[in-house]
Amino acid sequence: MSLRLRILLLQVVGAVVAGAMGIVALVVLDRTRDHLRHVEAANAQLLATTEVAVRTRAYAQRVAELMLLGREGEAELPALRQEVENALDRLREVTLDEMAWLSGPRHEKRNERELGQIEELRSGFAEMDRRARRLFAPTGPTWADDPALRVAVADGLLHGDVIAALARAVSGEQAEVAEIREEEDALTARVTVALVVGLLVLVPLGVLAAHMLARSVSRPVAALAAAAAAVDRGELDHRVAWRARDELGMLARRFDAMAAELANQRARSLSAHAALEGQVALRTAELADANGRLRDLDRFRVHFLAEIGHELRTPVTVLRGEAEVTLRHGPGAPEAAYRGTLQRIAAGAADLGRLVDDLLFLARTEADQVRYHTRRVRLAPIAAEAVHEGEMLARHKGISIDMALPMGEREVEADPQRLKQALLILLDNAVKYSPPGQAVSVECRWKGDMAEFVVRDKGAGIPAEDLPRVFDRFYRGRGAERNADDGSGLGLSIARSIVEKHGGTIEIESAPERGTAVCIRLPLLPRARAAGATARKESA
Amino acid sequence: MPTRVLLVEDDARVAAFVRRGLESEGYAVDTAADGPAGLAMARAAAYPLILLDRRLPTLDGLEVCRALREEGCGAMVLMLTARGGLQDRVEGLRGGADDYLAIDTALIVLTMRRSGTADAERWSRSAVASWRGCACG
Repeated sequence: MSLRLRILLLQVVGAVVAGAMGIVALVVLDRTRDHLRHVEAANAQLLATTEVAVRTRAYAQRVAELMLLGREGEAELPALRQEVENALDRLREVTLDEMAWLSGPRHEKRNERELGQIEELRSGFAEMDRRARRLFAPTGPTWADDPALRVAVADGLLHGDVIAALARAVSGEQAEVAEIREEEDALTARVTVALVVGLLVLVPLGVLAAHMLARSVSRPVAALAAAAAAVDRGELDHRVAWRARDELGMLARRFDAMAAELANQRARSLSAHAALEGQVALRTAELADANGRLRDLDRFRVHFLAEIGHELRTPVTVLRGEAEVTLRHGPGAPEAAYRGTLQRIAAGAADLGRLVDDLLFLARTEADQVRYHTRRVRLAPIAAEAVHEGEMLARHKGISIDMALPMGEREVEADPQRLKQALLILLDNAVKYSPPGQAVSVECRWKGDMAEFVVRDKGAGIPAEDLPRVFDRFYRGRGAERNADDGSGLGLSIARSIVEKHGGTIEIESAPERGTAVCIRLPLLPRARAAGATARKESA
Repeated sequence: MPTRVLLVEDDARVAAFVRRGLESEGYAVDTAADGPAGLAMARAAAYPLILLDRRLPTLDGLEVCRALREEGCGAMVLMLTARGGLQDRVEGLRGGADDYLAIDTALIVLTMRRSGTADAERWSRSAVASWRGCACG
């Protein structure tokens, strides 16, 4: 039930109570007025009746006096008679008045009786008057001489039917008044009972209704206030949970929905905050990482520059030393001395140029600026060419290169020049670190979908602790005598960078005094159909 | 009889021109390509002057110098390097070298002192000091 309806109901109950009280009061007032009028009417009737009685008695008394005392004063009789008639008329009037506003069978019956009584009085008086007239008529009986008769007539006159009727009328009116009193008392009693009962029933009912209304309002309001306080404290999971279907129930549901939305928003905000923090942490980590990489790169650059400076210093020193030593001879020096010096300087400058080339190559590789013109090429011819050039390097040390190249036409995706450069670096190293007269072996073979190019020497080998550094820039094996052929110390670095650009790997195995093997692995391209047919023909 | 000098230098190119320079100034030069060989030669013959490359494979110049000093070698020892850093120089001197010179500077000093080089002490105290600034640069 809605709050509005409940308040309306309470008001209706109050109005009903007040209305009932008012109606009771009105009824009581009306009845009291009726009774009062009735009593007045009865009193007026009683008065009129008494008047009739008094006038009648006065008439009768005069008649009796006339009879007993002689005819003097006979002339007053008509006036007295008229007064009786007037009193009777007034009584009739009063009675008719009462009849005009009293209704109901009981009253009609009584009024009829009263009217009857009036007629009875009137006829009684008329009889009395007739007798009196007859007495005083000139032809009337002679009662004056007979005293006994006079007394008898007078008694008859005085105590006749008229008197009796009068007495009856008076007592009737008295009875009526008494009856009205009784009725009034009964009504008062009934009204009192009705009022008490009504009050006893209606007042508790009103109090109960008011209490229920107050209770039905105060409980949800208290729950709402508690919920608002809880939400204010930050307990967003607090709910009013008031399921009534009235306005307060709706308010409670709205409040709960609002609290749920608030909780939702807070959860979203918290998760967004956490995500943001996570992202900040991630970005910070990335920044720290990038910073670390930059720092490493910076260190690497400083180190690289220092290395380059160091590596360039010696060749420059050699050039300068050669020149200075020769210049000390003065103008008289033999031409051969200058020539020799200039030749050595030219050779040293050429070395220096190669070193600078290698450094440039490496620097550009690091910066990813070296262009590779890769295409589908057969590996075997490239390997053969590299070996051929390696043999020229090996010749002056009396070193031979044993070559085992595979039959077949397997191809790789490669830049032939660069790939040959990488293979040649391995051959050059092998020749450099081999004792004179020893053979270097080269093996090129297919293994699954990979090509392997292995160069083995029987040189001094590399100490185990140096193995991790052999691909570092400027690492030089200890077995090599340092001279013009010493190289830049960049060879394996360059070879590795080339091989890795081709999607391959490079590995080194070495044991001191047993030699070194370096293996390059490159991914083979799938056999072309035509190439496959050729290979089958060859193997057949 | 020319003064005998021991040159311990692993870089053949450097060894070649230093030897030529010294020979043209009248020194007799023996060369060794690494530390152990140089040490052995220094022990075998009493050289009045030894030129040691600072950086040698297996046994570097500093270690050779220390070993020689511990054995009571009284030769004049000059440390050579392509670099003339102050730290290298201090280390060299602590290791017992008489001076620490860039290669080209050393050559000039030696050639300036061509005559009377047997008196190692004398030139080391005068000329070497006068070239120190150059060596540091």
